[in-house]
Amino acid sequence: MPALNDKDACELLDADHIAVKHLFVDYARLAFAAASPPAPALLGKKAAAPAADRAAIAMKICDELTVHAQIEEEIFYPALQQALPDAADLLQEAQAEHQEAKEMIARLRDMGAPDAAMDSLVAELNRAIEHHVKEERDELFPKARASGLDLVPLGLQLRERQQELEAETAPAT
Amino acid sequence: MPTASTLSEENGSDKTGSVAPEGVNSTIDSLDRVRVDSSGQRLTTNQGVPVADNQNSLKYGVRGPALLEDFILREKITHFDHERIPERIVHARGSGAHGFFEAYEPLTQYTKAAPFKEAGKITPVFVRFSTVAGERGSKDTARDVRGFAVKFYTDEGNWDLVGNNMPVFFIQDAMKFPDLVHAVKPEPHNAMPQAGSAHDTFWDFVSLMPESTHMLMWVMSDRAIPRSFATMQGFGVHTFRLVNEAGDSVFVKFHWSPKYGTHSLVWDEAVKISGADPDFHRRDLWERIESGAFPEYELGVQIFTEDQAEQFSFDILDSTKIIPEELIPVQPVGRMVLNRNPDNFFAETEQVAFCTAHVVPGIDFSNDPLLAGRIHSYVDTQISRLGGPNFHEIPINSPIAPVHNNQRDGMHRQAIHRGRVSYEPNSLAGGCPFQAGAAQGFVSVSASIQAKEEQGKVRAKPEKFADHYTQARLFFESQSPVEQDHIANAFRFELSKLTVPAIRERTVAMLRNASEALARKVAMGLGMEPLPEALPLALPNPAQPEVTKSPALSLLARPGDGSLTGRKVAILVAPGVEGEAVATAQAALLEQGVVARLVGPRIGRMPTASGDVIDADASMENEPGFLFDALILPDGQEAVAALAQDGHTMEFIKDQFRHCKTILALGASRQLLVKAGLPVSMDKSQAQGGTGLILAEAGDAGAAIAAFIEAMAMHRHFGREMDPPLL
Repeated sequence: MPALNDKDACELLDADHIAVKHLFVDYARLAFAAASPPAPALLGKKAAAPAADRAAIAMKICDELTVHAQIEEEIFYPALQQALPDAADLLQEAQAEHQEAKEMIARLRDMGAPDAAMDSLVAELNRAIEHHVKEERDELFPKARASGLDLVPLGLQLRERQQELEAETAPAT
Repeated sequence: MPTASTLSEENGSDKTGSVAPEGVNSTIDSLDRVRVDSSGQRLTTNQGVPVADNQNSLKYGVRGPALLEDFILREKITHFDHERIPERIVHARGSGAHGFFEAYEPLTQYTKAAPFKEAGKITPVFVRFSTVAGERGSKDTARDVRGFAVKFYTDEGNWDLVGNNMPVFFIQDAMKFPDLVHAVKPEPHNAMPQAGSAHDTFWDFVSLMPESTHMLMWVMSDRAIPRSFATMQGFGVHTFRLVNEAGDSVFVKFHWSPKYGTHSLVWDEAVKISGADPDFHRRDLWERIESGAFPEYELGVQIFTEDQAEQFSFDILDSTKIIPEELIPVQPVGRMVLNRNPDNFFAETEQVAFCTAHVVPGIDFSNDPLLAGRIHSYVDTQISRLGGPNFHEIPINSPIAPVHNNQRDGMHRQAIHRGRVSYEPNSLAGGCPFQAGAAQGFVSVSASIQAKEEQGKVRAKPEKFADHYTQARLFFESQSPVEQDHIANAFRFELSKLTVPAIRERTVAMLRNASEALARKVAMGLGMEPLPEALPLALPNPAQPEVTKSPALSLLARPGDGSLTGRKVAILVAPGVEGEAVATAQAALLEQGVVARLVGPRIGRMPTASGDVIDADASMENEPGFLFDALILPDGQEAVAALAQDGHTMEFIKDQFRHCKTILALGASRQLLVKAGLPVSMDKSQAQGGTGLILAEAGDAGAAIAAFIEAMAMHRHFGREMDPPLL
């Protein structure tokens, strides 16, 4: 796989999609292992994953999605708005979905230790994001690619802003 | 002896033997009594006549006509002409194995059934796994329920636990069974499709039978495409009873849990496997047993009383309902190990006859109306399939417990019963065989039937049977998001195949009652807009369920022991391959119980980079990538160049990637991933460490292989699964 800076705008945003899907999958694995019935006697004791791991993944999901939504709203959507007047509906829907996701993220950030409520909310966020991602991948990206918009410099711009925002949200060490 | 047959029975011969030992039925001896081994033996006819010439029929002159008197030819051809028996109407495609059941602790508090009498007690078993819809020669990896039938050869007779790998069923009453099966089987006019439910008649039927909604969730889930018979659960489906020495009974549901975890294929993989290896599950079972990686399952029971059952929000006689584990926990009571392959497929796996009617003292039935029909149906169908009422004498079916009764005659009778007596009571045979009585014999539980009006003869169902959606919702809501995606995609796939749009719409209308999110997603995948009105509810106000989520229903809750036993890894090789890393990988994988195969552009010997020789035992053309659980791409510039120019390599990688399997690229082979088209957008996920792609620098094979093994234990890396697929 070529290095990070080779990606155009769609590829960069899709990298976020795939990366956050991975986090959702990891979260679900831990959540279901924690909630599963006792291991059959012949299997011995299963090693329980620390609950802290789940909370950390949930917070990482929140951070990643927050940055992702922000760079889309600041850079990607405005660029498309200009290049694709007929995509207004799609973009409006995308923004509404961002809003919905942001509300869920805010609720998640307020939660303490991971429990069944957090598991449900993460799953709900997962489904919402998946729907949003599918629309972007199936509808918006093909439009963007066909629009004649130069996606390479746009990708660079997205990346710079993303790095800036990531530096801001990075936990102090 | 009181049972003596004849005054002349003492006149023995090689054929007659002599006087029968008293009170013995020799037909129950072990299968050794019928095993045939022909080493060092001459060829004979069925009558034992040595055959001089097995090449030429008897003719009148070398160019003359064949002669009718050629009894050797005629016997051979006649037998051949009659080799086939009717295949099972359902569960025709199956694979069997011998093994044993071992009880952990006595379960005598609840049951007097022989297998559970004491800790460590061993009971021989024969197990047959099967698909349901496909014919005898159909593919193993169809989307379907799997039969999970266990015959316990107990000290007190045969007990058949004739289960499935799903705990519920499509229908509630045996009255609908022929309809269901006719609907799912190949359509009658053109006999298509084989081993598939994605056709009009099946969906027509189930969409008119909303009680099937819960089962449809299971069948559309990954449960319907297991990775291996060794990695699927089993269930007794119905509620049964356990009965103890005192005659007290409790209700019970049976669960088998695989030691190696509950793991499934993905649909694209299952479809491809069915082309390259239709015997995928049969081969896997056979190879696991032959290599000593014995499939193993734990038997668990959910035990509850009649009073508890009364309180449940659902009816325990309804085969479309589970009892959530949160409500009644599953207690482990023993384990089953499958450690011996059959000697002969026909004699054992084909002729084995499972019957739900086969229970032993300590096990009894509930009033589940589907079970009632099955108690009749299995025996009935064996009579036709196996040619008469004596199928219990076919060696694989005969119990190891003594068999003595007055059933007589019939086609293919094996036993030679002595004496004049074939009735009871009798005095001429000293009253034998005598009835065992309540203390030893099977006694049906005297379930009380209250003298209420509704207990009169009716053709009707209890009210709770009409709640068709609560548990369908429970199942869907209890799945992880990835599993939910797979369910939605399976509905999309099946419904996309239909030719009648109204059936698609009716199915989505039904799904809206179970999950609005699922219905919306399926409709979106079908381009169906707007959503059809939800089907009217048969029971407008069903009882509040005890639980609305049961994580135990997710495959993720059942990773098993996490071992890789029985898994298969492909190590790609070509001339000039870096041989040492290949040897290191092979050794490390063998230690984990993993089968590592060297797959090359062709089979056979080839030189390594260091001048040694390795032997590829499979070719990419023969054993494509989707047949393996994981992939190692080798180092060595020349080998990588050879693999890079072979289109099979790219397909190999593409399938491994798409099916979310662990891929290790050693050194130079990283460029093969690029050539295969892995998207650049994988990099961020890769940096988070979650994609199951391991890129190792040259010379670091040991650590890389350790990381590979660890990643393999995750089974699949669904973090890279997008819909439609990335690659």
